Amino acid sequence: MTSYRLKYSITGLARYISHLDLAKVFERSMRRAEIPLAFSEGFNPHPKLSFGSALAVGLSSGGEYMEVQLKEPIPPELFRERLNHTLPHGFTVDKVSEVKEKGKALMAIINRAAYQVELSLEGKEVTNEELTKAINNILAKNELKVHRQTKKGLREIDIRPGIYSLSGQVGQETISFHLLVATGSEINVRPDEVLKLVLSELNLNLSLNAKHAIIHREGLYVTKSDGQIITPLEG
Amino acid sequence: MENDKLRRMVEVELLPLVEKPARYLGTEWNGVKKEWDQRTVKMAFAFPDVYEIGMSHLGLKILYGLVNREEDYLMERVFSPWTDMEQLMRAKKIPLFSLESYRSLRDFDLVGFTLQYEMSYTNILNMLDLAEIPVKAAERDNSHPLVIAGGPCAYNPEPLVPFIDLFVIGEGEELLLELMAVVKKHKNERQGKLDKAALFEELVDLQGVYIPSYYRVDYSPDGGITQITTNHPKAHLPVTKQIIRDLDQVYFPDKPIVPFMEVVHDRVVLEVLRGCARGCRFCQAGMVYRPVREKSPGTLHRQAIEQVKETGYDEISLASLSTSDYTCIEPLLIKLLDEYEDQRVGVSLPSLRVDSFSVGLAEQVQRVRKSGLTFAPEAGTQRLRDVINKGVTEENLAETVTAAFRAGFTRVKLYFMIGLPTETFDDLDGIIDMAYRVLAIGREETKKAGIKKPVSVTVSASSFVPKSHTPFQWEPQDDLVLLKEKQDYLKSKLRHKQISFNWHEAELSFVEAVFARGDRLVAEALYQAFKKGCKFDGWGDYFSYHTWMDAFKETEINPEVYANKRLAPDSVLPWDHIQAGLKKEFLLEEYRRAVGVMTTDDCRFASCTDCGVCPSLKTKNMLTKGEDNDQLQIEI
Repeated sequence: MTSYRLKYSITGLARYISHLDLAKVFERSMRRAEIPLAFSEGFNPHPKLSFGSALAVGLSSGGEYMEVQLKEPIPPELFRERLNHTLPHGFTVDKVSEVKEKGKALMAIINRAAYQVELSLEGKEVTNEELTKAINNILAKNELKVHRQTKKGLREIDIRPGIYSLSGQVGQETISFHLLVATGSEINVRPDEVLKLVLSELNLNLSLNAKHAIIHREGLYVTKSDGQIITPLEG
Repeated sequence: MENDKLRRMVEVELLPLVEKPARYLGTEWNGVKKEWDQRTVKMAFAFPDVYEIGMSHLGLKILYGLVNREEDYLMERVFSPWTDMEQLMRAKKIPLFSLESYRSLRDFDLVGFTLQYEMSYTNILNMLDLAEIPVKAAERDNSHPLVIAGGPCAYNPEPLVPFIDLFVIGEGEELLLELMAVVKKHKNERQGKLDKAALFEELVDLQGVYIPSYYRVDYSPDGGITQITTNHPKAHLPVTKQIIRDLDQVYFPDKPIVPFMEVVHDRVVLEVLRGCARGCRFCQAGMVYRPVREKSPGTLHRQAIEQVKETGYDEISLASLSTSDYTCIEPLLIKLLDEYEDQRVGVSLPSLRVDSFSVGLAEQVQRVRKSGLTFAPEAGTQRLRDVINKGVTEENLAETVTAAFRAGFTRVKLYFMIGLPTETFDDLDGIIDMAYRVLAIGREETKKAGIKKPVSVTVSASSFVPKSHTPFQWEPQDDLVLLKEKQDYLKSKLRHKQISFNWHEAELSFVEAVFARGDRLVAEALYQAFKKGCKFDGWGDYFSYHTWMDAFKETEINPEVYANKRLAPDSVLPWDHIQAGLKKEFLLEEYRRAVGVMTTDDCRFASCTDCGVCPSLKTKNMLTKGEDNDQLQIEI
């Protein structure tokens, strides 16, 4: 059995396909591409597919990752070409690499996510100075508490340690933000949580629903123990 | 609204706010988006239920592929938007649009509804309204699309007559292309415009086309029908269904659309045969789809390979009204399993006959994926099973489930119907006894085999709804009080931790019966119910019985007259002018035999029952001789 890691992007209407449905999309595309999937044993065999950090419905992405096991090896470039032929509109595989040694699961190693957000100003006004000041104020804080609904009830979480960079630029009708935040099981920071803090600092009441805040995930990354940031394909 | 603007608006403003946006994308694998050319005949296939139901429908897959492979025609899909989407569309004044091109339904030449279930009728009205097309045909003009409808419920089209311009009766594979050819010629002669009155005259001679405005129905003062006559010189009386004579030669899709989200039947569906001659007297499908026509195993094998390759599905369903009856079922099943086991593509059988042969088939199926077993004894006593002509004995069932539990199955589902003609509480006791007997056999057999997993028996009881074109079309449905009493009785007696009991909402079956046997007059109540907001009536959460009752009251329709009355054998039935090929004398004779507790054999294995289908439609049962079984062997 051979494992492969795939980097793929999601654009256009495909961003409305839920994470739960994603496995079927890839399984069926691979079967159409005659890629020899490996399956689990048992009464309900499943293909051995696993995904990196789940992407929320409505978000596009330029760098998602998955891992798949095949029964027989296939040249990575051929794998990529064949799969791109059978993937539905809006999905593109950018790179495939063979996993040489069995390491930790993708889910376990991915710990950074970069986002680009276009937030509609809905006719309201704000200057670049005000925005920069607000962002600096936020980054200067040692602690940023947000409330999150968990299985154990409403919990207060400090997301400050999970914000690595944050910048913004006021445009014609929108503010563009760029964020690098923590993702994964240790700390997980959602882009809308960060933006909510910025807006509250600006005293600006803007809607963060999917219609007004267009969020694009640029990529997922892994920080090595020496602090170096690499992509999951390099890991 | 221009279609790019509409698409943009839906994508940016609506999809982020709905629960399941994947219903509305239109970019699924194998979807067909054609150039929007002026000369093309454009048809919207409208399924009056939510995406997940509609995308599971075989008829849609067949007609979509069939029409779209023709250069001059196009077909796009539209489903009932779920209530969250509808609300947003109405608020933003977005008309109902097709998924492929995001075009308003008004931009199509034809809008075709499929009639699978009476309780989807309010959705049809709601879809027309959402499309900004007048709901009533009389209020539409030549600028509106021609609104047509077909499918099993079209065998009694009368409750929909005010809303539909034209019905197609019977199997659509050939008829739809013939109809579109006429529309194409018509359009080309009129600079792309439709003149419906003229078009009707050009379409009326196609077998299976029913133009309701060409017929007149007279009623007696008490509301009964006195006569059905034509009021147009070209109208045919009766209108006879269209039929595909050779199923082996007819078009079958090789590239069905693969949905992004999970739908009810999320798999390759192969139709192994059409029709059923077992002759269950309550079953409309078993009557109107006659005769039995099987495909050859070679054809099915080829279609399976093509569909798996083009869809990437991991399951092939061998579908039909009774798949165990397919002459070559065993060799076909084994061949498909052998071929696909390695790739973990499974095969499934939707309905199983109650016999050990079927258990053997189910056992084979387990090679790839584990599943439960479903049988339909339909009634609890031998007497009642003979009344309905369900050829199953108590011993058949006992042997069958014994074999099933021995083979390692632990979940068994049993389907019954309550409220069948002549039913008494003794027959309900029969259901209860049967459930406990199956459970006892299961416990014993699993114990012997050392299986730890507890056995579970699911009993489902639907309520009998008399349907047109069946021997029971004259019979009443039990009234609501009695139906509920019967349900409560079963509920109280089937309390056991290893037995689960499911039933259907009796009120729903009652309204269903009104429309199953309704005439043109009940259409007003349907319209009123729609006006009052009824939709998705087949969904328990949305069905509002009291709103329906208000609608009946306000339109002065007594629903009980339609659902609960026994009709005289010599009465004029609302669907008497629609001919499925069955002789009325045959249905009456079957009705008499039912009351006399006499069974009738399957004409495939015994003599002709003189139902009338073969001579009147110039057809016959076509069973595969398995001659290409030899060919199959060679291919292996």
